[in-house]
Amino acid sequence: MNTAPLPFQLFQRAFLASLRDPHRSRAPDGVPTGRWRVYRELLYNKIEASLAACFPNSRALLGPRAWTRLVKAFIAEHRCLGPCYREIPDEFMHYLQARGPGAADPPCLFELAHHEWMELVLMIAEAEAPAEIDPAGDLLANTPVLAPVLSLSCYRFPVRAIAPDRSGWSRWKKRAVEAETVPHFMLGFRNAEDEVRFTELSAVTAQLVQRLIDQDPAQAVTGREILWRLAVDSGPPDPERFVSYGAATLLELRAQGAIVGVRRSPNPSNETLRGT
Amino acid sequence: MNTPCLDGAGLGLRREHLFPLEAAVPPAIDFFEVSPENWLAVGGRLGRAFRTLTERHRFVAHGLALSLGGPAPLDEAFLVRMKRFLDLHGMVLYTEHLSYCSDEGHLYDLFPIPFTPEAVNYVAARIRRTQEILERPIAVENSSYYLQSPDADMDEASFIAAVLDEADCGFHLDVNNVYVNSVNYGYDPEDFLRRMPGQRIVYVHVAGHDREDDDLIIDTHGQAVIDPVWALLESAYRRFGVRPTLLERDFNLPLLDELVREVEHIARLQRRWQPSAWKRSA
Repeated sequence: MNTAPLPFQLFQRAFLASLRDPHRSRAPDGVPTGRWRVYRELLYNKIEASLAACFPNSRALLGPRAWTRLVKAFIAEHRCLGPCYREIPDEFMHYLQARGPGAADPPCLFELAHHEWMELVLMIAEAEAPAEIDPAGDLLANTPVLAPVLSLSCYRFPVRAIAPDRSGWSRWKKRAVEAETVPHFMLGFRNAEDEVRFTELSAVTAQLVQRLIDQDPAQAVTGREILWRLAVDSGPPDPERFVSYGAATLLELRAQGAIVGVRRSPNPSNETLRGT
Repeated sequence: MNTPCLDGAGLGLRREHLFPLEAAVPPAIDFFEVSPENWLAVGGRLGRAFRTLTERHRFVAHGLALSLGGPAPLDEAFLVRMKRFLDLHGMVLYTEHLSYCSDEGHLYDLFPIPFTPEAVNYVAARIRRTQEILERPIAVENSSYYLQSPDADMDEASFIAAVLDEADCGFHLDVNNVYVNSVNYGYDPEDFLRRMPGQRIVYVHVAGHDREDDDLIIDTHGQAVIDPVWALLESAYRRFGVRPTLLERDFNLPLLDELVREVEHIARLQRRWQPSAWKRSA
Protein backbone atom coordinates (compact mmCIF):
# COMPACT_ATOMS: atom_id res chain seq x y z
CA MET A 1 0.00 0.00 0.00
CA ASN A 2 1.89 3.00 -1.24
CA THR A 3 0.08 6.23 -0.61
CA ALA A 4 1.42 9.74 -0.87
CA PRO A 5 2.71 11.00 2.46
CA LEU A 6 0.41 13.38 4.31
CA PRO A 7 1.78 16.88 4.91
CA PHE A 8 2.28 16.31 8.63
CA GLN A 9 4.29 13.17 7.85
CA LEU A 10 6.80 15.17 5.82
CA PHE A 11 7.48 17.17 8.95
CA GLN A 12 7.79 14.00 11.03
CA ARG A 13 10.29 12.42 8.67
CA ALA A 14 12.35 15.58 8.36
CA PHE A 15 12.37 16.00 12.13
CA LEU A 16 13.50 12.42 12.81
CA ALA A 17 16.14 12.64 10.07
CA SER A 18 17.58 15.75 11.73
CA LEU A 19 17.61 14.07 15.13
CA ARG A 20 19.48 11.07 13.78
CA ASP A 21 22.03 12.94 11.73
CA PRO A 22 22.14 16.69 12.32
CA HIS A 23 25.15 17.07 10.01
CA ARG A 24 23.29 15.75 7.02
CA SER A 25 19.73 16.87 7.74
CA ARG A 26 18.82 20.27 9.12
CA ALA A 27 15.91 20.56 11.52
CA PRO A 28 12.69 21.53 9.68
CA ASP A 29 12.05 25.25 9.36
CA GLY A 30 10.30 26.82 12.29
CA VAL A 31 11.60 24.36 14.87
CA PRO A 32 13.25 26.27 17.74
CA THR A 33 16.88 25.19 18.07
CA GLY A 34 16.78 24.97 21.87
CA ARG A 35 13.82 22.63 21.90
CA TRP A 36 15.23 20.59 19.01
CA ARG A 37 18.39 20.14 21.07
CA VAL A 38 16.33 18.78 23.99
CA TYR A 39 15.16 15.94 21.75
CA ARG A 40 18.61 15.34 20.26
CA GLU A 41 20.15 15.09 23.73
CA LEU A 42 17.41 12.83 25.04
CA LEU A 43 17.91 10.54 22.06
CA TYR A 44 21.68 10.41 22.34
CA ASN A 45 21.63 9.93 26.11
CA LYS A 46 19.07 7.17 25.92
CA ILE A 47 20.93 5.17 23.29
CA GLU A 48 24.30 5.79 24.91
CA ALA A 49 23.01 4.67 28.32
CA SER A 50 21.73 1.40 26.88
CA LEU A 51 25.00 0.72 25.06
CA ALA A 52 27.18 1.76 28.00
CA ALA A 53 25.30 -0.67 30.24
CA CYS A 54 25.78 -3.59 27.85
CA PHE A 55 29.26 -2.80 26.52
CA PRO A 56 31.30 -1.31 29.40
CA ASN A 57 34.59 -2.83 28.25
CA SER A 58 34.16 -1.94 24.59
CA ARG A 59 33.42 1.59 25.70
CA ALA A 60 36.52 1.72 27.88
CA LEU A 61 38.65 0.17 25.14
CA LEU A 62 37.61 2.85 22.66
CA GLY A 63 37.95 5.75 25.05
CA PRO A 64 35.45 8.61 25.33
CA ARG A 65 36.02 10.31 21.96
CA ALA A 66 35.96 7.23 19.76
CA TRP A 67 33.02 5.83 21.75
CA THR A 68 30.97 9.00 21.28
CA ARG A 69 31.79 8.95 17.58
CA LEU A 70 30.68 5.33 17.29
CA VAL A 71 27.41 5.94 19.15
CA LYS A 72 26.64 8.94 16.95
CA ALA A 73 27.42 6.94 13.80
CA PHE A 74 25.15 4.14 15.03
CA ILE A 75 22.29 6.59 15.58
CA ALA A 76 22.87 8.23 12.19
CA GLU A 77 23.43 5.17 10.02
CA HIS A 78 21.42 2.34 11.54
CA ARG A 79 17.67 1.81 11.47
CA CYS A 80 16.62 -0.01 14.63
CA LEU A 81 13.90 -2.52 13.77
CA GLY A 82 13.41 -3.90 17.27
CA PRO A 83 10.62 -2.02 19.02
CA CYS A 84 11.95 -2.59 22.54
CA TYR A 85 14.47 -0.36 24.29
CA ARG A 86 16.32 -3.40 25.58
CA GLU A 87 16.93 -4.47 21.96
CA ILE A 88 19.27 -1.52 21.36
CA PRO A 89 22.37 -3.68 22.06
CA ASP A 90 21.09 -6.26 19.53
CA GLU A 91 20.69 -3.46 17.00
CA PHE A 92 24.19 -2.22 17.78
CA MET A 93 25.62 -5.67 17.03
CA HIS A 94 23.71 -5.73 13.72
CA TYR A 95 25.18 -2.33 12.98
CA LEU A 96 28.77 -3.34 13.80
CA GLN A 97 28.40 -6.45 11.67
CA ALA A 98 26.91 -4.61 8.70
CA ARG A 99 29.44 -1.79 8.94
CA GLY A 100 32.47 -4.05 9.12
CA PRO A 101 35.65 -3.07 10.92
CA GLY A 102 36.26 0.68 11.06
CA ALA A 103 39.71 1.92 10.04
CA ALA A 104 40.35 3.29 13.51
CA ASP A 105 38.80 0.37 15.43
CA PRO A 106 40.97 -1.70 17.72
CA PRO A 107 41.04 -5.09 15.93
CA CYS A 108 39.47 -6.87 18.91
CA LEU A 109 36.52 -4.45 19.19
CA PHE A 110 33.92 -6.54 17.40
CA GLU A 111 34.71 -9.71 19.30
CA LEU A 112 34.84 -7.95 22.64
CA ALA A 113 31.47 -6.32 21.93
CA HIS A 114 30.05 -9.67 20.83
CA HIS A 115 31.19 -11.31 24.03
CA GLU A 116 29.71 -8.54 26.18
CA TRP A 117 26.45 -8.77 24.24
CA MET A 118 26.28 -12.56 24.72
CA GLU A 119 26.06 -12.03 28.45
CA LEU A 120 22.87 -9.98 28.01
CA VAL A 121 21.47 -12.43 25.46
CA LEU A 122 22.02 -15.39 27.76
CA MET A 123 20.66 -13.57 30.79
CA ILE A 124 17.23 -12.89 29.31
CA ALA A 125 16.77 -15.76 26.83
CA GLU A 126 13.42 -17.44 27.32
CA ALA A 127 14.26 -21.15 26.96
CA GLU A 128 13.66 -23.37 29.98
CA ALA A 129 15.10 -26.80 30.74
CA PRO A 130 12.94 -29.73 29.65
CA ALA A 131 11.17 -31.35 32.57
CA GLU A 132 11.92 -35.01 31.87
CA ILE A 133 15.67 -35.07 32.50
CA ASP A 134 17.66 -36.94 35.08
CA PRO A 135 20.23 -34.54 36.53
CA ALA A 136 22.41 -37.32 37.94
CA GLY A 137 22.07 -39.96 35.20
CA ASP A 138 24.99 -41.75 33.55
CA LEU A 139 26.40 -39.45 30.89
CA LEU A 140 27.81 -42.27 28.75
CA ALA A 141 24.81 -44.59 28.78
CA ASN A 142 22.25 -41.83 28.12
CA THR A 143 21.92 -38.66 26.07
CA PRO A 144 23.61 -35.69 27.78
CA VAL A 145 21.36 -32.61 27.78
CA LEU A 146 22.92 -29.16 27.57
CA ALA A 147 21.73 -26.14 29.53
CA PRO A 148 18.73 -24.76 27.61
CA VAL A 149 20.33 -21.33 27.32
CA LEU A 150 23.79 -21.81 25.88
CA SER A 151 26.06 -20.49 23.16
CA LEU A 152 29.37 -21.55 21.74
CA SER A 153 31.45 -18.84 20.08
CA CYS A 154 34.82 -18.96 18.40
CA TYR A 155 36.95 -15.84 18.75
CA ARG A 156 40.36 -14.86 17.42
CA PHE A 157 41.01 -12.89 20.58
CA PRO A 158 40.91 -14.11 24.17
CA VAL A 159 37.85 -11.99 24.90
CA ARG A 160 37.83 -12.78 28.63
CA ALA A 161 41.38 -11.49 28.95
CA ILE A 162 40.83 -8.14 27.22
CA ALA A 163 41.39 -5.72 30.08
CA PRO A 164 43.52 -2.69 30.83
CA ASP A 165 47.02 -3.23 32.20
CA ARG A 166 49.59 -0.75 33.53
CA SER A 167 49.61 1.02 30.19
CA GLY A 168 45.83 1.19 30.09
CA TRP A 169 44.20 -0.23 26.98
CA SER A 170 46.99 0.57 24.55
CA ARG A 171 48.10 -3.05 24.21
CA TRP A 172 44.61 -4.10 23.08
CA LYS A 173 44.15 -1.09 20.88
CA LYS A 174 47.15 -2.09 18.82
CA ARG A 175 47.25 -5.84 19.05
CA ALA A 176 46.84 -7.14 15.53
CA VAL A 177 44.63 -9.98 14.41
CA GLU A 178 47.64 -11.59 12.75
CA ALA A 179 49.20 -12.02 16.17
CA GLU A 180 46.42 -14.42 17.10
CA THR A 181 46.99 -17.91 15.81
CA VAL A 182 44.97 -20.07 18.19
CA PRO A 183 41.18 -19.71 18.15
CA HIS A 184 39.46 -19.17 21.48
CA PHE A 185 36.32 -21.22 22.03
CA MET A 186 34.00 -19.59 24.51
CA LEU A 187 31.12 -21.48 26.01
CA GLY A 188 28.46 -19.31 27.64
CA PHE A 189 25.41 -20.68 29.42
CA ARG A 190 22.84 -19.99 32.10
CA ASN A 191 23.11 -22.39 35.00
CA ALA A 192 20.35 -23.81 37.21
CA GLU A 193 20.66 -20.75 39.49
CA ASP A 194 19.95 -18.56 36.44
CA GLU A 195 23.47 -17.12 36.49
CA VAL A 196 25.36 -16.58 33.25
CA ARG A 197 28.70 -18.37 33.17
CA PHE A 198 31.50 -18.37 30.60
CA THR A 199 34.24 -20.90 30.24
CA GLU A 200 36.95 -21.20 27.61
CA LEU A 201 37.11 -24.64 25.98
CA SER A 202 39.86 -26.57 24.26
CA ALA A 203 39.32 -27.21 20.55
CA VAL A 204 38.32 -30.82 21.13
CA THR A 205 35.90 -29.99 23.96
CA ALA A 206 34.38 -27.32 21.72
CA GLN A 207 33.85 -30.01 19.07
CA LEU A 208 32.19 -32.23 21.65
CA VAL A 209 29.88 -29.41 22.78
CA GLN A 210 29.09 -28.59 19.14
CA ARG A 211 28.02 -32.20 18.60
CA LEU A 212 25.83 -32.04 21.68
CA ILE A 213 24.26 -28.82 20.36
CA ASP A 214 23.65 -30.47 16.99
CA GLN A 215 22.04 -33.59 18.50
CA ASP A 216 18.54 -34.25 17.35
CA PRO A 217 16.64 -34.96 20.62
CA ALA A 218 14.53 -37.55 18.79
CA GLN A 219 17.64 -39.62 18.02
CA ALA A 220 18.55 -40.46 21.64
CA VAL A 221 22.23 -40.99 20.92
CA THR A 222 24.20 -41.83 24.06
CA GLY A 223 27.19 -39.91 25.37
CA ARG A 224 29.40 -42.91 24.58
CA GLU A 225 28.26 -42.97 20.95
CA ILE A 226 28.83 -39.23 20.54
CA LEU A 227 32.36 -39.54 21.94
CA TRP A 228 33.11 -42.62 19.87
CA ARG A 229 32.06 -40.91 16.64
CA LEU A 230 34.09 -37.85 17.54
CA ALA A 231 37.10 -40.11 18.15
CA VAL A 232 36.66 -41.88 14.83
CA ASP A 233 36.21 -38.58 12.95
CA SER A 234 39.17 -36.83 14.56
CA GLY A 235 41.31 -39.97 14.50
CA PRO A 236 43.19 -40.31 17.79
CA PRO A 237 45.22 -43.54 18.02
CA ASP A 238 43.12 -45.02 20.80
CA PRO A 239 39.36 -44.29 20.63
CA GLU A 240 38.65 -46.18 23.86
CA ARG A 241 41.02 -43.93 25.75
CA PHE A 242 39.54 -40.90 24.01
CA VAL A 243 36.09 -41.93 25.27
CA SER A 244 37.30 -42.20 28.85
CA TYR A 245 38.90 -38.73 28.67
CA GLY A 246 35.70 -37.48 27.08
CA ALA A 247 33.67 -38.98 29.93
CA ALA A 248 35.68 -36.89 32.38
CA THR A 249 34.99 -33.80 30.25
CA LEU A 250 31.26 -34.51 30.26
CA LEU A 251 31.34 -34.81 34.05
CA GLU A 252 33.18 -31.53 34.29
CA LEU A 253 30.66 -29.80 32.03
CA ARG A 254 27.90 -31.13 34.25
CA ALA A 255 29.66 -29.95 37.39
CA GLN A 256 29.88 -26.47 35.83
CA GLY A 257 26.22 -26.50 34.89
CA ALA A 258 26.66 -26.52 31.09
CA ILE A 259 25.17 -30.03 31.03
CA VAL A 260 22.00 -30.20 33.11
CA GLY A 261 21.55 -33.97 33.07
CA VAL A 262 20.59 -36.79 30.74
CA ARG A 263 17.62 -37.88 28.75
CA ARG A 264 17.20 -41.55 29.57
CA SER A 265 18.08 -43.89 26.78
CA PRO A 266 14.83 -45.60 25.84
CA ASN A 267 14.57 -49.28 26.86
CA PRO A 268 13.70 -51.91 24.22
CA SER A 269 9.98 -52.01 25.06
CA ASN A 270 9.76 -48.26 24.47
CA GLU A 271 11.54 -48.73 21.17
CA THR A 272 8.86 -51.18 20.13
CA LEU A 273 6.10 -48.85 21.20
CA ARG A 274 7.61 -45.97 19.31
CA GLY A 275 7.92 -48.16 16.24
CA THR A 276 4.18 -48.74 15.97
CA MET B 1 -16.13 4.36 30.66
CA ASN B 2 -14.49 2.17 33.22
CA THR B 3 -12.25 -0.84 33.27
CA PRO B 4 -13.56 -3.84 35.14
CA CYS B 5 -11.20 -5.16 37.83
CA LEU B 6 -9.24 -1.94 38.04
CA ASP B 7 -9.47 0.62 40.81
CA GLY B 8 -7.41 2.24 43.50
CA ALA B 9 -3.77 3.29 43.36
CA GLY B 10 -0.90 1.57 41.60
CA LEU B 11 2.82 1.70 41.06
CA GLY B 12 4.89 1.46 37.89
CA LEU B 13 7.02 -1.66 38.21
CA ARG B 14 10.75 -1.33 37.62
CA ARG B 15 13.25 -4.16 37.44
CA GLU B 16 15.04 -2.70 40.43
CA HIS B 17 11.99 -3.38 42.61
CA LEU B 18 11.18 -6.78 41.22
CA PHE B 19 12.96 -8.92 43.78
CA PRO B 20 11.87 -6.92 46.87
CA LEU B 21 8.29 -7.10 45.57
CA GLU B 22 8.56 -10.79 44.89
CA ALA B 23 9.11 -11.20 48.63
CA ALA B 24 6.16 -9.02 49.64
CA VAL B 25 3.87 -6.47 48.01
CA PRO B 26 2.88 -3.57 50.30
CA PRO B 27 -0.92 -3.51 50.73
CA ALA B 28 -1.08 0.11 49.54
CA ILE B 29 -0.37 -1.07 45.98
CA ASP B 30 -3.65 -2.08 44.35
CA PHE B 31 -2.10 -2.81 40.95
CA PHE B 32 1.07 -2.51 38.92
CA GLU B 33 1.87 -1.16 35.52
CA VAL B 34 4.65 -2.16 33.14
CA SER B 35 5.81 -1.20 29.71
CA PRO B 36 5.25 -4.42 27.80
CA GLU B 37 8.28 -3.60 25.66
CA ASN B 38 10.47 -4.06 28.74
CA TRP B 39 9.13 -7.56 29.38
CA LEU B 40 8.32 -9.06 25.98
CA ALA B 41 10.44 -12.17 25.48
CA VAL B 42 12.32 -11.78 28.76
CA GLY B 43 13.11 -15.13 30.35
CA GLY B 44 15.46 -16.28 33.07
CA ARG B 45 15.26 -15.12 36.63
CA LEU B 46 13.71 -11.77 35.70
CA GLY B 47 11.10 -13.34 33.49
CA ARG B 48 10.11 -15.86 36.15
CA ALA B 49 9.86 -13.26 38.91
CA PHE B 50 7.71 -11.11 36.63
CA ARG B 51 5.43 -14.03 35.81
CA THR B 52 5.00 -14.78 39.51
CA LEU B 53 3.91 -11.18 40.13
CA THR B 54 1.49 -11.06 37.21
CA GLU B 55 -0.10 -14.30 38.41
CA ARG B 56 -0.80 -12.77 41.81
CA HIS B 57 -1.54 -9.12 41.09
CA ARG B 58 -3.44 -6.93 38.69
CA PHE B 59 -1.38 -5.37 35.93
CA VAL B 60 -1.84 -2.62 33.39
CA ALA B 61 0.29 -2.52 30.22
CA HIS B 62 1.42 0.93 29.16
CA GLY B 63 3.06 0.67 25.76
CA LEU B 64 5.91 2.73 24.37
CA ALA B 65 6.68 1.44 20.91
CA LEU B 66 3.44 1.26 18.94
CA SER B 67 4.04 4.66 17.35
CA LEU B 68 0.34 5.43 16.89
CA GLY B 69 1.19 8.68 15.13
CA GLY B 70 4.21 7.40 13.19
CA PRO B 71 4.61 7.83 9.43
CA ALA B 72 5.47 4.15 8.76
CA PRO B 73 2.70 1.51 8.52
CA LEU B 74 1.30 0.24 11.82
CA ASP B 75 3.38 -2.71 13.00
CA GLU B 76 0.68 -5.37 13.02
CA ALA B 77 3.08 -8.24 13.69
CA PHE B 78 4.12 -6.41 16.84
CA LEU B 79 0.46 -6.07 17.82
CA VAL B 80 -0.03 -9.79 17.45
CA ARG B 81 2.88 -10.36 19.83
CA MET B 82 1.41 -7.73 22.11
CA LYS B 83 -1.93 -9.50 22.20
CA ARG B 84 -0.25 -12.74 23.30
CA PHE B 85 1.61 -10.84 26.00
CA LEU B 86 -1.56 -9.12 27.26
CA ASP B 87 -3.38 -12.44 27.38
CA LEU B 88 -0.53 -14.38 28.97
CA HIS B 89 -0.21 -11.93 31.84
CA GLY B 90 -3.90 -11.15 32.18
CA MET B 91 -3.31 -7.44 31.66
CA VAL B 92 -6.53 -5.64 32.60
CA LEU B 93 -5.83 -2.61 30.39
CA TYR B 94 -3.51 -1.61 27.56
CA THR B 95 -2.75 2.03 26.94
CA GLU B 96 -0.45 3.81 24.51
CA HIS B 97 0.82 7.32 23.91
CA LEU B 98 -0.69 9.86 21.59
CA SER B 99 2.69 10.32 19.95
CA TYR B 100 5.14 8.54 17.68
CA CYS B 101 8.54 6.98 18.23
CA SER B 102 9.63 5.75 14.82
CA ASP B 103 9.60 6.03 11.07
CA GLU B 104 11.10 2.93 9.44
CA GLY B 105 13.36 2.65 12.49
CA HIS B 106 12.76 3.09 16.21
CA LEU B 107 14.22 5.99 18.19
CA TYR B 108 12.99 4.84 21.63
CA ASP B 109 11.60 8.24 22.56
CA LEU B 110 8.19 9.87 22.16
CA PHE B 111 7.68 12.73 19.71
CA PRO B 112 4.67 15.03 19.34
CA ILE B 113 2.31 14.42 16.45
CA PRO B 114 1.65 17.66 14.53
CA PHE B 115 -1.80 18.78 15.65
CA THR B 116 -3.64 18.81 12.31
CA PRO B 117 -7.01 17.46 11.14
CA GLU B 118 -5.25 15.00 8.78
CA ALA B 119 -3.31 13.66 11.74
CA VAL B 120 -6.56 13.25 13.70
CA ASN B 121 -8.01 11.01 10.98
CA TYR B 122 -4.78 9.12 10.51
CA VAL B 123 -4.16 8.40 14.20
CA ALA B 124 -7.80 7.58 14.94
CA ALA B 125 -7.80 4.98 12.14
CA ARG B 126 -4.67 3.40 13.59
CA ILE B 127 -6.19 3.29 17.06
CA ARG B 128 -9.27 1.59 15.67
CA ARG B 129 -7.12 -0.94 13.84
CA THR B 130 -5.16 -1.57 17.04
CA GLN B 131 -8.37 -2.24 18.97
CA GLU B 132 -9.46 -4.61 16.21
CA ILE B 133 -6.25 -6.65 16.34
CA LEU B 134 -6.04 -6.69 20.12
CA GLU B 135 -9.77 -7.44 20.36
CA ARG B 136 -10.21 -5.00 23.22
CA PRO B 137 -10.64 -1.29 23.74
CA ILE B 138 -7.46 0.60 24.45
CA ALA B 139 -6.84 3.97 26.07
CA VAL B 140 -4.56 6.65 24.69
CA GLU B 141 -2.50 9.02 26.80
CA ASN B 142 -1.82 12.72 26.37
CA SER B 143 1.97 12.99 25.97
CA SER B 144 4.42 15.60 27.11
CA TYR B 145 6.31 17.46 24.40
CA TYR B 146 8.91 20.13 23.93
CA LEU B 147 8.12 21.38 20.46
CA GLN B 148 5.29 21.57 18.00
CA SER B 149 5.26 21.41 14.26
CA PRO B 150 4.90 24.89 12.78
CA ASP B 151 2.20 23.42 10.51
CA ALA B 152 -0.04 22.58 13.47
CA ASP B 153 -3.35 24.30 13.08
CA MET B 154 -5.18 22.86 16.09
CA ASP B 155 -4.42 23.26 19.76
CA GLU B 156 -3.49 20.23 21.82
CA ALA B 157 -6.77 19.98 23.74
CA SER B 158 -8.87 20.02 20.55
CA PHE B 159 -6.52 17.51 18.94
CA ILE B 160 -6.80 15.05 21.83
CA ALA B 161 -10.57 15.36 22.04
CA ALA B 162 -10.97 14.90 18.29
CA VAL B 163 -8.73 11.80 18.14
CA LEU B 164 -10.50 10.12 21.08
CA ASP B 165 -13.86 10.88 19.59
CA GLU B 166 -13.07 9.66 16.13
CA ALA B 167 -11.30 6.52 17.41
CA ASP B 168 -13.95 5.96 20.08
CA CYS B 169 -11.32 4.80 22.56
CA GLY B 170 -10.55 5.37 26.21
CA PHE B 171 -8.59 8.33 27.53
CA HIS B 172 -5.55 7.81 29.70
CA LEU B 173 -5.10 11.16 31.42
CA ASP B 174 -1.58 12.02 32.58
CA VAL B 175 -1.88 15.02 34.90
CA ASN B 176 1.89 15.41 35.07
CA ASN B 177 2.01 15.75 31.30
CA VAL B 178 -0.72 18.39 31.45
CA TYR B 179 1.40 20.30 33.95
CA VAL B 180 4.66 19.84 32.00
CA ASN B 181 3.09 21.04 28.75
CA SER B 182 1.36 23.94 30.49
CA VAL B 183 4.75 25.22 31.64
CA ASN B 184 6.55 24.44 28.37
CA TYR B 185 3.79 26.08 26.35
CA GLY B 186 2.56 28.69 28.79
CA TYR B 187 -1.07 27.73 29.17
CA ASP B 188 -3.40 27.27 32.13
CA PRO B 189 -3.50 23.58 33.14
CA GLU B 190 -6.91 23.95 34.81
CA ASP B 191 -8.38 25.36 31.66
CA PHE B 192 -6.82 22.50 29.68
CA LEU B 193 -8.25 19.94 32.08
CA ARG B 194 -11.70 21.50 31.75
CA ARG B 195 -11.55 20.83 28.00
CA MET B 196 -10.65 17.14 28.35
CA PRO B 197 -13.36 14.54 27.59
CA GLY B 198 -13.92 13.42 31.18
CA GLN B 199 -16.36 10.64 30.37
CA ARG B 200 -13.64 8.84 28.37
CA ILE B 201 -11.07 8.79 31.17
CA VAL B 202 -10.34 5.21 32.24
CA TYR B 203 -6.94 5.63 33.83
CA VAL B 204 -4.76 8.37 35.30
CA HIS B 205 -1.01 8.89 35.65
CA VAL B 206 0.79 11.07 38.13
CA ALA B 207 4.57 11.56 38.13
CA GLY B 208 7.48 13.83 38.91
CA HIS B 209 9.69 15.68 36.47
CA ASP B 210 12.84 17.79 36.22
CA ARG B 211 12.69 21.55 36.01
CA GLU B 212 15.35 22.73 33.56
CA ASP B 213 14.37 26.36 33.32
CA ASP B 214 11.52 28.79 34.00
CA ASP B 215 9.80 27.71 30.82
CA LEU B 216 11.15 24.19 30.34
CA ILE B 217 10.32 21.01 32.22
CA ILE B 218 11.74 17.67 31.11
CA ASP B 219 9.32 14.82 31.77
CA THR B 220 11.85 12.46 33.33
CA HIS B 221 9.69 10.62 35.90
CA GLY B 222 12.82 11.04 37.98
CA GLN B 223 11.56 13.05 40.99
CA ALA B 224 8.82 12.99 43.59
CA VAL B 225 5.44 14.39 42.51
CA ILE B 226 5.25 18.14 43.17
CA ASP B 227 2.32 19.91 44.86
CA PRO B 228 0.91 21.63 41.74
CA VAL B 229 0.64 18.19 40.09
CA TRP B 230 -1.08 16.71 43.15
CA ALA B 231 -3.46 19.68 42.99
CA LEU B 232 -4.15 18.93 39.34
CA LEU B 233 -4.90 15.29 40.20
CA GLU B 234 -7.41 16.43 42.83
CA SER B 235 -8.88 18.79 40.34
CA ALA B 236 -9.32 15.95 37.85
CA TYR B 237 -11.03 13.83 40.53
CA ARG B 238 -13.31 16.75 41.41
CA ARG B 239 -14.25 17.39 37.78
CA PHE B 240 -14.47 13.86 36.42
CA GLY B 241 -14.69 11.55 39.39
CA VAL B 242 -12.07 9.20 40.84
CA ARG B 243 -10.30 6.86 38.41
CA PRO B 244 -7.63 4.18 38.92
CA THR B 245 -4.39 6.12 39.22
CA LEU B 246 -0.77 5.14 38.93
CA LEU B 247 2.47 6.62 40.20
CA GLU B 248 5.18 6.58 37.52
CA ARG B 249 8.80 6.67 38.58
CA ASP B 250 11.41 5.58 36.06
CA PHE B 251 14.69 7.22 37.05
CA ASN B 252 16.55 8.23 40.15
CA LEU B 253 14.68 5.46 41.94
CA PRO B 254 14.31 5.79 45.70
CA LEU B 255 13.63 2.90 48.05
CA LEU B 256 10.29 1.24 47.61
CA ASP B 257 8.99 2.70 50.91
CA GLU B 258 9.27 6.21 49.57
CA LEU B 259 7.24 5.33 46.49
CA VAL B 260 4.66 3.52 48.60
CA ARG B 261 4.12 6.76 50.54
CA GLU B 262 3.28 8.51 47.27
CA VAL B 263 0.94 5.67 46.30
CA GLU B 264 -0.75 6.09 49.69
CA HIS B 265 -1.15 9.77 48.95
CA ILE B 266 -3.01 8.91 45.75
CA ALA B 267 -5.32 6.66 47.79
CA ARG B 268 -5.93 9.49 50.29
CA LEU B 269 -6.99 11.84 47.51
CA GLN B 270 -9.21 9.13 46.03
CA ARG B 271 -10.93 8.67 49.41
CA ARG B 272 -11.40 12.40 49.72
CA TRP B 273 -13.20 12.64 46.38
CA GLN B 274 -15.06 9.35 46.39
CA PRO B 275 -15.15 7.98 49.93
CA SER B 276 -17.87 5.44 49.24
CA ALA B 277 -15.82 3.78 46.52
CA TRP B 278 -12.91 3.09 48.81
CA LYS B 279 -13.23 -0.66 48.76
CA ARG B 280 -10.63 -1.59 51.29
CA SER B 281 -12.53 0.13 54.10
CA ALA B 282 -15.45 -2.25 53.52
